[in-house]
Amino acid sequence: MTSRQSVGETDKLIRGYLARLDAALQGVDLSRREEILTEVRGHIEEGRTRLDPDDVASVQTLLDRVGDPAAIAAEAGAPPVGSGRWDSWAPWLIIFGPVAGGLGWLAGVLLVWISPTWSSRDKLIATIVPPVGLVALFFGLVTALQAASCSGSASCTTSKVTLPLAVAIPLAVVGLAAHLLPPIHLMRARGRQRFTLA
Amino acid sequence: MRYMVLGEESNWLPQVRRGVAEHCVLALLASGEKYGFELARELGTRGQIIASEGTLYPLLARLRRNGLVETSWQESTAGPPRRYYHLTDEGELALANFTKQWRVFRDVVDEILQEGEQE
Repeated sequence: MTSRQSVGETDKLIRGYLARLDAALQGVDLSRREEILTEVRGHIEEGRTRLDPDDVASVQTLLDRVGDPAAIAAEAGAPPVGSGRWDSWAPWLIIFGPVAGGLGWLAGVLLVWISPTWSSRDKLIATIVPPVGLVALFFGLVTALQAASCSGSASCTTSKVTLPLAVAIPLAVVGLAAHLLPPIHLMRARGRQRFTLA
Repeated sequence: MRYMVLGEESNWLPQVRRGVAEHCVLALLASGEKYGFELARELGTRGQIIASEGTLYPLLARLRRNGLVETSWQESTAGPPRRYYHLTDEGELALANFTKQWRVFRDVVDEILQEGEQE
């Protein structure tokens, strides 16, 4: 028995399944993703010709045999959805977050800690070192500017904490490195992991 | 760091499958070209080798990228056009190597398991 309604019903089932598979394959490179989707779509169409194509229960069984989209995506080397899908943002937020107000930085640190991609050691370093580096960078820059302006004119009224240029500039450079290197390390560690998965 | 819990099927089987399933697909193609649905049904019915029929397709994509299989599209009398997979020379070589190594590997594992049972 094939009513019009059940024709739409099985089409909807299949469309829904393929949409879930497409979503699960996020993170797999485009050509591979399309290859897999085309093949699975072909498999379902092929299977459908061997049964009553509009019978909801048989189409559901067919899809069950194709299996969980997450399992197919895992076989394709996709990072599991819901864990680590924001990984690419975290290092950038740690670098530029402080400039755009502390909230961006906070979000970056949060993303790093909820992700399974990195080790606890990497997480700890990426949390603590960049802010310290940023403080060192600013302190170095400010004192270097002060030293530069003081050496030009004799009217140097602000004589709080001043450092000679030879100390202030290296401090700023080391601060910059300390701010940038941990997030860069996160990117590289993530890249390595994705490579071994694929 | 998560450690493997020995004896739980879910922990070791996917890891063993990873390399073995690819070579089983190569072996199924040794007798001639096949299309995805055919392969999926054959493996799916036997069980063990693939987790579900759909997981065959990422595996086939990997074999194709590694040059072990090649594909050609052919019209079908019923249903959509089919993508047929056939072994390359490299694929045949990989299969021959695997077959040799697997038999040795399997024998050693069996031997060790049997010794364990006798004690």
